[in-house]
Amino acid sequence: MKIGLKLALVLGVAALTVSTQIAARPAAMVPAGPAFKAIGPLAFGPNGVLFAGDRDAASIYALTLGSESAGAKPGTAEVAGIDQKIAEVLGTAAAEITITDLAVHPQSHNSFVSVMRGQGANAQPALLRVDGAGAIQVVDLTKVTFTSVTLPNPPAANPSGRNDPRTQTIMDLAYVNGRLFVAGLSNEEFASKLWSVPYPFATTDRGTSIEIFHGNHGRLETNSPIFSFVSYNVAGQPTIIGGYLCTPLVKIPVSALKPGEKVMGTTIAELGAGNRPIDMIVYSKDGQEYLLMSNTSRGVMKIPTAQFATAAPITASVGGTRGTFETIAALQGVEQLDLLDTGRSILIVKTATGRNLTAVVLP
Amino acid sequence: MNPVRVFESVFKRGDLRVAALVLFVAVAACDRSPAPITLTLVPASGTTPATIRVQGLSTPEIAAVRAASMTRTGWQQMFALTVSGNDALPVTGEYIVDSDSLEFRPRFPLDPGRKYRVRFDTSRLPVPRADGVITTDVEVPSAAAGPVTRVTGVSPTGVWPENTLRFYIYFSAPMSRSSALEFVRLEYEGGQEVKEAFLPLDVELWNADRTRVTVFFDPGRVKRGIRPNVELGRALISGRRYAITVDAAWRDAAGHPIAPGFRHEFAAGPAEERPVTPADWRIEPPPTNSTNALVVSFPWTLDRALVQRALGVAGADGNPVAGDAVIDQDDRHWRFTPAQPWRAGAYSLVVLSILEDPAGNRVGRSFEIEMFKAPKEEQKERVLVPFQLK
Repeated sequence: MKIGLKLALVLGVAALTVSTQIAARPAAMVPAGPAFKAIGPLAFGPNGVLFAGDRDAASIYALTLGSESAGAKPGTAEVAGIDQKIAEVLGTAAAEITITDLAVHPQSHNSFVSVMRGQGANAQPALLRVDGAGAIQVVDLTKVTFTSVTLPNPPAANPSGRNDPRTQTIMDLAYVNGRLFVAGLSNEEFASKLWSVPYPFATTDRGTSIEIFHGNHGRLETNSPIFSFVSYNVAGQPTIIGGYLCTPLVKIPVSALKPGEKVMGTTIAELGAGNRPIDMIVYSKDGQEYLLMSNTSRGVMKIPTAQFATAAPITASVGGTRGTFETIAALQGVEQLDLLDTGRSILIVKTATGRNLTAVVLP
Repeated sequence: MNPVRVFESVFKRGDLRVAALVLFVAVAACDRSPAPITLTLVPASGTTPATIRVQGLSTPEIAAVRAASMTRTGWQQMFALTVSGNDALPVTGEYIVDSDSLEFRPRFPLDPGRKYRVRFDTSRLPVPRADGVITTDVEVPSAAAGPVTRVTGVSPTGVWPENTLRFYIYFSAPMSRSSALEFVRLEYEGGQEVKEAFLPLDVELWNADRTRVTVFFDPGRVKRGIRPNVELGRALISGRRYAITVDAAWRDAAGHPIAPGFRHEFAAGPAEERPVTPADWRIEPPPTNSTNALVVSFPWTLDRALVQRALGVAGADGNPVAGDAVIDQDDRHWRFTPAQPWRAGAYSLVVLSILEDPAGNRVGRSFEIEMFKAPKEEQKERVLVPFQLK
């Protein structure tokens, strides 16, 4: 009897609970947030805004990450088999994912990794965060606010024709003094174009394309694109340090990058042929500043930046290399590179068995 | 709406109810055996991707889950989807409490043909059951294969200058994101591979529908005097014959291999180092009052993709003449058919200066120019070649 009373009482509560608290089944997820077709490269800008390139759409999204800026623990812990673990979280196999970039949040020091999940028509972009405990979480892009801008495509000469529109992709990007600089590469012409757009993005100014020349090998390299670049103050002047194929290092003062201008960059080092730069960071150690640059076939180079102001422009063919640099033998297979904190860099390193997220003391 | 958030708010308002529900479920369990719990894959429907459903929980059990304030980790400890054989970390997704079931919606659609494991730990229910851990394997069926995708051709089609910078491969259907360089090979006539011929990029250069890919030769081997050029020479040598082959293991966008056996044989010719010069082109004027094609012939092969974008016709007023253009298979003849009949008068062929040949020579500027000796002439965005129709 006592049980019966309790049961009746509880049933009443339960009925009340059911009638008032079981919500209607939510409808299918409505896509919100930035509509990436592809994601990467990445670069953090002012106030923790994350610039994320969409290589398929030739667009740049400026993401305000809000609550997604940090995981449970600040910093980034090393993660062995990062590609395998990201694949697990995304519900697929490691062979199905492509890591497109790595960037460290300036405040939380969590690492953000951009990934394409899938190789086929169903490929989808994903942004993941690795925190100081090594926890890997998919950033919920529906929770971030954003603005975006798209690289303008040049008009066709025959606007009424059935053209197969040119596409262009994004090689690298960096924020410098209120402007975002983007190195682009088209699937048609092989030109060196640096695109400059003010940030915050404005509908009235979609930026401008700047054609950059640089001297090399006694020839005018009109048609080689920048593959990686950073901004750096050379003799007090904000300057783009750009890495090209085969591998000249070129400086271009930001003040010279005016809309519509054609600019001649200055080649300040030759770092070796048969090579392409991947990533660059600038850091300080023992009172000196250095550029750390990862490459496709010439390892990771440590380049003292003091020479950037004083190096004589290279205007003739160079046999071998020119400029002072040191190749860091311990760093092999580096595919992604960013500055983790003042003393360490964070890397994604390819090994025989997979890829590792590894923190190393700056050389 | 985020369902998990809903549950958190319920918990804050309903501690008493949770206690009552726990009691009820415990009492109810004494009276009769609970239904068995089943884990099933709910197939995709329309735009809704496949989900995983837990059924067999009683209404009070469901209500207890709803009322509990479960963290994401708590959910994953109770109910997790993992990739079979790759199951250290659970798949990311949303948990839904329905009226009679629990549901997991993966953040990304499950891969067709891949096996997944569903794990449900009944001891982690707010009112634990003694059924232990229930697991089941699920798989989204693979889509039926469509027509086999094939390579439909390459461009350029004729003789390739030995300083060719790029070429295009065309496909009958959209392709996957796999790196082209894994599947495209340059061979000598006898079948031996020409190694390190192409530029390794970490991006792929496709058209919008992924039916045309751009492959660059390594410019370091193309440009004269650069170390790879000196040490390895150009990949193509004038007078020799070569073939481009495409591996059938290359997957299309549906994940299926392409048709085997594509091989494009061609001869390499002398380097082309002249700038593209529209004034040297032959223009065959069509008769007036007709919609016959205007035919423009180039002295050597131009870039097929750029020709389609960089050429047009303007009337005497400077406005574009509407019409359609095709380029012949040899990439040396451009045919423009106007939408309206030609009238007598002045026209111009409009040439954007971005137009290049396959060796990267642009309008008015060769790919390689002697540095610091080059005249600083202004590069115009477009060049006009006037012609008259009588």
